[in-house]
Amino acid sequence: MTHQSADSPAENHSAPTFDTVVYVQQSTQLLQLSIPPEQMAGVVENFERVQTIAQPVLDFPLPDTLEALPTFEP
Amino acid sequence: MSEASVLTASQTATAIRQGETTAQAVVKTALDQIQASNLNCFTTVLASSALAAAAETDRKRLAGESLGPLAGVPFAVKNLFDIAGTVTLAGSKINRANPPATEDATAVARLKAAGAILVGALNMDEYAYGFVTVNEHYGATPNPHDPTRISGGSSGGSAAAVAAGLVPLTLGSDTNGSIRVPAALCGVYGLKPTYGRLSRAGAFLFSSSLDHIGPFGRSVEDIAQAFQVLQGADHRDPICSDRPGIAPVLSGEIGGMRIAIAAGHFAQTTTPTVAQALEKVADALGATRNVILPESARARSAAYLITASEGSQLHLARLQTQLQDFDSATRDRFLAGAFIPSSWYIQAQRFRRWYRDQVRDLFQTVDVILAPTTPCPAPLIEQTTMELDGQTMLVRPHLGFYTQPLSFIGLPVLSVPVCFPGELPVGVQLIARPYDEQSLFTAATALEQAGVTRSPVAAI
Repeated sequence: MTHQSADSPAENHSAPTFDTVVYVQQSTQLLQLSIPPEQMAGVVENFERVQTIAQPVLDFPLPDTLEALPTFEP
Repeated sequence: MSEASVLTASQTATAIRQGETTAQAVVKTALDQIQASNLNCFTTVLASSALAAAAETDRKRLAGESLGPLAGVPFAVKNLFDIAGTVTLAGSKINRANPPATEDATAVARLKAAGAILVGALNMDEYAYGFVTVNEHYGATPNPHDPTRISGGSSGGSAAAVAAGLVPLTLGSDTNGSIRVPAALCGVYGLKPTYGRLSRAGAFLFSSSLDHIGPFGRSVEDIAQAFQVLQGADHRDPICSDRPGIAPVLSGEIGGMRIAIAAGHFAQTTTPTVAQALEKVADALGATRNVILPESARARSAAYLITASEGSQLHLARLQTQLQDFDSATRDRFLAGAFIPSSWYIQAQRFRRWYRDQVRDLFQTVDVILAPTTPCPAPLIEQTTMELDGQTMLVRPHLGFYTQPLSFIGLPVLSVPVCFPGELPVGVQLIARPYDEQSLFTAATALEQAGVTRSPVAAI
């Protein structure tokens, strides 16, 4: 992810770590959403929670041959 | 109202069929109780059409015409089901601007075809995104057993209306636990059938990969009866199975049935009441063996990613144009879900297949698995955190701790109520292999016959 420093309230623009605030702000524009500034913190907090939830799923190795089920049959 | 005064759906239908009462008297009583109730279960009451349907039922009986198995039984549905002539709210303010539905949801139509009489629509979390039924637009639906506590969600109105004895039968939907969680907290039976078993056509969906519908009731017989008439192929729902339906048998004969207790993820972070309820159910069913559903915590996470991605995509246009009309409890979560990268979502879908395969293998050696429904009895309405196993946890998301991994792979699950004297009710999940709802009915009947599970009407 490239940091868009002009829109970022983050202080350290050279840090290589992921900046959730920037990501959420940029995604907000990409998806043509309009989030009032006072509501942004709640959205960022929720996306950080999603990141935490996602990590163990992303860490789990799956074989290339395992495809999702286009029509799910339990 | 006294406990004995409230009949189950099956008892009601029998009493009407035998002329001990009339459909009109039953429906009038239900409407009066709904009117008098302060539980905020209903968002719409359909008094005139219900009374007209009741009059028609009574006319048919007097004329000797055939009556359906649920003839004269009042029922109500979560307000995400289409009701012809009524706007489908799905718990939202935004949907109020929609035109009324032009036809009934398939599930509503099938219950009506069986003779049941629709009396109204029930409160829920906005767009089904929640486990609490605390709705900014329509208010909270408190727990009938203790109105300072939540009814659970998102089908809270459906569970509370049955627990309070307002109607004996309701419908809800379950994406991550939204039938089972409120059923457990309100002390009623709640069935989430196999994914695709019951048509969702005409229900306002949340996350299509995971959405199910199912019934609430106060007896196994009522759940089985409703399930039986709700079955059947439906071209209006692309995932609805065309398998033949089953005629549930309520023998309670569990001899030869292999029943085990879910360990690992499902044995973590319970309160003593919940652990005691599970033990009581396991003892009654002779279950001593433990089984592990591998990677269930990861399954729960993957279910969340799919739910958030699909739910946010479904609502994206509304998030773009009507953001401030969302319930603030769902708004930020929907927004965050819109930012999930597609690779995360696809990984979750691929993991879903991996997990399904593992659990399919497990069901080679077991027929029914037991697990708690929720980690705790109903929390207080204002409560945000709870202490479990020495950890502070957020109440709302944690209520789905045991339910999410199971709906993730579409297993049929029946939450059965356990009520200890002087305590709030809790639930235990009976879990079977796909399409084996019969095993759930058999085990649940055994528990009901043994007096281990029961669903008393709340004394308020």
